[in-house]
Amino acid sequence: MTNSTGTTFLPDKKAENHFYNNLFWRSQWLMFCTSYTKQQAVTFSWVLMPYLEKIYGKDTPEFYDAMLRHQDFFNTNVTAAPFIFGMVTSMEAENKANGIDPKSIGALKSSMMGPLAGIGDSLVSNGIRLIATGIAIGFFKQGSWLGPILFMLLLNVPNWGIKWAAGKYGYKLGNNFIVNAMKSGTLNLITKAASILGLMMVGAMSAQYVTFTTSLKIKTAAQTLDLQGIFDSILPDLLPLALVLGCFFYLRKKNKPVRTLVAIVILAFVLTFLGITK
Amino acid sequence: MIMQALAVGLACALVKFGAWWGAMGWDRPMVASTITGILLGHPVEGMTVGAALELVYMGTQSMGGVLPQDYGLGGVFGCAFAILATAKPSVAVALSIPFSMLGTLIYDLFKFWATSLITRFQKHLEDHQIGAFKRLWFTQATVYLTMYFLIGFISILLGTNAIKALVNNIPTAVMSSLTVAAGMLPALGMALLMITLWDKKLAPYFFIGFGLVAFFKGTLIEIAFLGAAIAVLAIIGQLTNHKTDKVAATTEDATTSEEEDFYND
Amino acid sequence: MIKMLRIDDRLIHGQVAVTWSKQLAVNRIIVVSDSISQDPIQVSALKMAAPEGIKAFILPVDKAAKMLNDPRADRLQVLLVMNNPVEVAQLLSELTTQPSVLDVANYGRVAGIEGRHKITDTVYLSDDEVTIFKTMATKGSHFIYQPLPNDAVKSVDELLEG
Repeated sequence: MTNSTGTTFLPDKKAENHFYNNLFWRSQWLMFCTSYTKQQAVTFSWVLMPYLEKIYGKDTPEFYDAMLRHQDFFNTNVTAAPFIFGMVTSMEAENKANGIDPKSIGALKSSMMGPLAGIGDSLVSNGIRLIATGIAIGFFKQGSWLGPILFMLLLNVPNWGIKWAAGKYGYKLGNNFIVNAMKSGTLNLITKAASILGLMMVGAMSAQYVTFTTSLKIKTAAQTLDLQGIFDSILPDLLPLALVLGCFFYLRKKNKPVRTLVAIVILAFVLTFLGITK
Repeated sequence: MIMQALAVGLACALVKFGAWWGAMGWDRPMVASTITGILLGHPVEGMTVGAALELVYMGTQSMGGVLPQDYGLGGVFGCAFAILATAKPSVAVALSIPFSMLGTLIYDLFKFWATSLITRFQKHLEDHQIGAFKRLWFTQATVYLTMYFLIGFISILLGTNAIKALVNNIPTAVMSSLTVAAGMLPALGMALLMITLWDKKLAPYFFIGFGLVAFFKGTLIEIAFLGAAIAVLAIIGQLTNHKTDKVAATTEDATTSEEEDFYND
Repeated sequence: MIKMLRIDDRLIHGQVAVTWSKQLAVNRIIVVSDSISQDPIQVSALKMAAPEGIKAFILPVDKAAKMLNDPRADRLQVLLVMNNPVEVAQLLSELTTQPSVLDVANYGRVAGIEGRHKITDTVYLSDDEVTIFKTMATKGSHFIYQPLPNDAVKSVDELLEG
C-alpha cells in the first residue's frame, strides 16, 4: 500500500519525520496498564490516540469507533511493536481516504503480534541482552562506571534503533511488506547468528563466573593428593562446567528453576559441612 | 533510616519505570543494583553486588507478559541490604531471593487491578469521553510507580533492623556455605540461558566459548569480538545456500515441494 | 510423533517459538487452520516466526491429518499449534496416532471474552466450546492447562467441573 493518503495525514517531509519521532516516544509506554484479559490493548489505543485524532478529527464518532476497534486483545514484544503501530496508522489513514474493511486492520494486528513477539523476544531478550550483559558484567564486577554505561549503550542503541526504524518502515510499507520482505528468511539467519554468539558468551561466562572448586586433599603415606590440582591439569574449570551441564540437564527434565536453586544451595551446605569445598 | 528508605523507594520506582518504559533494561539486577547504590551513596558497591546478583538471575527473563521472578526488585533489595545491613555479596544474593518471589505476587495484584479497569476504559470511549480515558490512563501509570515506591520505602523502614540482626548472627559455617553457594549459583543462570538457546547443531559454540576462557583466559570482550566474526562466518554459507534454494524451489511444483519439505531434513 | 497439540490464540509467539520448541525438542511446528492457511500474509508471517532449525508449516485440517498419518511422519518431532476448538476436535478424530500432550494455553481473548466463561487467567470458553472440550474428553482426549514449561500442570477436565 503506497500512501495515497499521505498528502492529507502527513502532507510533507517535516510532518512525516515528526510522526516517526512522536510514534517512537509514545510507543515506549506500551507496557503500562497490561491486563490479564487484554494485555497491552488499552495502551495500544492510547499510543494511537493523537494519530487517530488527526486522521478522523477530534471527538468525531469515527475517532471513537477507531479507538474502540483497538480495545481488542494485543500483546507483542515492545521493541518490535512500532512496526505494527506504523502499519495500523497507515491503514487507518487509508481507511479514512478510500474506505477499507476495518476488520482487515484487526486481522493484520492479530496475525502480526505473535510472530513479532517471537522474533523480538529471541533477538532482543536472548541475543542483544545477553551479549551486552557478557561484555559489561566484568566492568560491573570491578565497580567501574564503564559497566552501566556500556550495558545501556549496547542494549539500547540497537533496541531503540530497531524501534525507530520499525515505526517508519511499518508506516511506509503498509501491509504489503510481509509478502515481499519476509519470505527471504534473512531475519531467521540474524536470529541464528545472535544465538551462536549468545551460546559462546554463555560458555565463556560459565568458565569465567561459576566458582566451584574442591579443597579436598587425600593424604596417603607417601604423599598428599591435591584433587583440585589434578582437575586443573586435566581441564581448567572442569567442576564449573560439570555443574552448568548438570543444571542444564536437570532443568531439561522439566524441573523448576526454583527447585534447582534450592538444590544448589543444599549441595553447597552439604559439601562445605563435609569439608569438600570451602 | 528515613532518608535511606526514601532512596530505596525511589530506586524501586525508577527500576520499574525503566523496565517498562522503552524496555531499557533497568530491571536487570546489575542495573537495578547500581541505581540503588547510586541513590544510597555507594555506587561502586551497587555495581559489584549487582554483578553477583546478575549472575544468578541472568537466565530469568520476562516473556509473553509473564514475569517468572521479579529480578528487578531482587536487585534493589539485594543491594540495599548489602549496603544498609553490611551483608556480603553472597548473603545479598540469598536475601534477594524472597523479594524476587514477593515481587511476582505484587505484580499479579497490580495486574488484577488493571484488568478491573478495562471495562471503565471501554465505557469512557463508548460515552465519547476521551478526557476521562486519558485521566484514567495516567492514574494507572501513577499508581503503578507509587506502589513500587511504597514497597521499597516501607520494607526498608520496617525491615532493615531485623535483617541487620540476622546478618550479624550468621554462624561462620553457614557463612562459608553461603559463599560457596553464591559461587555455584551462576551455573543455574547459565543453564537457564542454555535451555532457551540450545540447539544440538549449535552446541559446539558453547564449548568454543568455554574453552577460550578456560584454556586461554580470554576476556569476555575478546570472546564477543571473535564470536561475532564466527557467527557471521556461520551464516554466510547459509545466506548463499538460501538464495540457491529459492531458485530451485520456484522451478518445482509448489504443493508437492511443501510435502517433501515436511518429511526431509 | 506429535509431542504436543497446543491451543493458542497467538499461534507462534515467544512462549511457543522460544520456550516450548526447545523444551520439547521439536523439529516441526505445524499451525493447523483452514482459514489461516488460505491467507498468504499470515502464512509468511508465521513461517518467519518459527525459530531457526525448526520448519514451520501452515496447513488446513485435512492436509495436516493426511501428512501426519503418513508413516514418514513417525520419526519427526512435531508441535501442533491451533486456535479453533472445532478444528481441534476434527483433527483429533482424523489422526491415527494421538498427540502425547494436549495443552490449552491461550484462548478466547482475541475473539473477545464477552459471553465466554473464565476457565483460567488465559483461557475463556463459550458454552459451545465447553461442550466441545467435554465431548473430546469422553473420547479420551484429555486437555491440560500449562502455558509455560515451568507452570504447574492443571487438568482442564477438573477446571471445567469446578
